[in-house]
Amino acid sequence: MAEFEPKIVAFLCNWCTYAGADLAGTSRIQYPPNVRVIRLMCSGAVDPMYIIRALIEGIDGVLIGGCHPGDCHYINGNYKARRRITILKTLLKEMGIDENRVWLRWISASEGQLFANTIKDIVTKMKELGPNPMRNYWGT
Amino acid sequence: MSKYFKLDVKNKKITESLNDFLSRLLEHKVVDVLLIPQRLAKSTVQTVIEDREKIKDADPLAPVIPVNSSIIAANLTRTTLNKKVGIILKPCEIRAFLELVKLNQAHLDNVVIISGDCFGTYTVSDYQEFLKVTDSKRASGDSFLQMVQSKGKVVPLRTACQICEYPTPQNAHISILTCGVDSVKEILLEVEDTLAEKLSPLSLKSASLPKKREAALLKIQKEKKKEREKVFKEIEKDVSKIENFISLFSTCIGCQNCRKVCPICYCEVCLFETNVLKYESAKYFRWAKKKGILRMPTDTLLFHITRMNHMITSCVECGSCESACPSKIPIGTIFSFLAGKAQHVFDYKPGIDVKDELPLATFKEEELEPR
Ligand code: SF4
Ligand code: SF4
Ligand code: FES
Repeated sequence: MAEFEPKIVAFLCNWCTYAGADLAGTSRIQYPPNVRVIRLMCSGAVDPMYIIRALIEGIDGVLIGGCHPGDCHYINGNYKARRRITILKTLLKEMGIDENRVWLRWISASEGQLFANTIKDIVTKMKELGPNPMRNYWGT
Repeated sequence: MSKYFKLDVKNKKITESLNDFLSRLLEHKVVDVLLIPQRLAKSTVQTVIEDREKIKDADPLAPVIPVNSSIIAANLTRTTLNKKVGIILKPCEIRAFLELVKLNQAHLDNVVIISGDCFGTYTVSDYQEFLKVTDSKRASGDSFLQMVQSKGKVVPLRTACQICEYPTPQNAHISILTCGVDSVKEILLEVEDTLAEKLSPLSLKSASLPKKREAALLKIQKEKKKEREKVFKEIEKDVSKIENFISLFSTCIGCQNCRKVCPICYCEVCLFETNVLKYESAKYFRWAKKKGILRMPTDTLLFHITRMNHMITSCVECGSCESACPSKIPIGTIFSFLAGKAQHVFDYKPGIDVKDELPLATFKEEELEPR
């Protein structure tokens, strides 16, 4: 049987992590092709609903990428994202959905290598966790 | 600090003497209008009273919350008030009201909050059952008080009330104290200092807290705490496994009553009623293809888990959602259980102190690491 290849969705801030991903691409830094990128204007624009939707559909891992603390273009979107994601992870944990499937990371426009490494790490970790059991449930 | 006064009760007519007091608040312009529960045929509903003659059939201690009064109070105070409004709220409704104040949906200026010890409430349909077994000539609040104080419970209370942590009001300007008070003879009023002066034209008799009150309160709190632990242990089993969670919501018909009646869900238009969740036909078939099968209508869990994420730090555990659920899903219990977990992260208790900032409206630069 072929090795399990986790599917990852990445919600990336336009100003930092998205540009970081771009840099990783243009600098030809290798990283696993498991990730689908969705660009948003700020990590603070990620409604938990998007993440919940992805997890319910059976996505194995979710990355939310934002600017480093102090660097958010909307001043505090990333700090607010951190609170929202904390609530989400607290609830997921209680519901028996592994909260380690959700990653919030600060990656700047110049950190192409960090972006690539983060993707490698999340893919490795999701391989350890195995497929998201939600993919087997349709009664959602 | 507060001052204590007492009202004499004649012929065990607790509500009558309370209503007399409330009407005198209107007479002496302590308040210009009152938001107060009133008997209406088979139920008790909230009313706004200007004319103090109309207070006769008021039933301020009625054990029922037809619509969470904090929502009504928010409607009445949303814009600047040129009247002094007295609003009668149960303790959980005060907490919801304070959250709505923080959410900029309600205002405290010119508001006098009147509340009282709460021994619990019924759903509207259980309340009708309760009325059937009580003396129809008495105020339902009187029958209920007597029933709980003589330990004869007929119809079980709403779960939220059975597990309530705050049976006595906080942040009320006037609290009607009946617990540990010989309420067939007298009612105790706890009045906030600043308001006490304004009550002087009413020439109320001053009083002090009876010694037995503390023990009586402790007893209730202990009972409720025990029940709370039991109920939470049960619900944890259902919540903590995703297949059980799905099973909990297998009877959900997607009516969104739980959201519509929730005092905290104040959004003018809920995201879940917008076009964001109306999809092109092809999308359903794509989803169906993915898992081979798709539950219709879609988005049951998405709705509940998203709603939770949006508002759970402010959930005051009033149980209004559960009372409104046609499928009898223990939705309020689920929210209460999970609210505790989420609120704990921010050391936040909703509706207790109006100065405590909403967890989602603020942040600290250094916190919640590692993520
Ligand atoms: S979620 Fe339910 S228990 Fe919590 S505030 Fe809303 S109606 Fe009340
Ligand atoms: S009130 Fe009950 S049936 Fe209606 S949406 Fe809420 S949980 Fe589902
Ligand atoms: S702009 Fe990048 S996180 Fe806000």
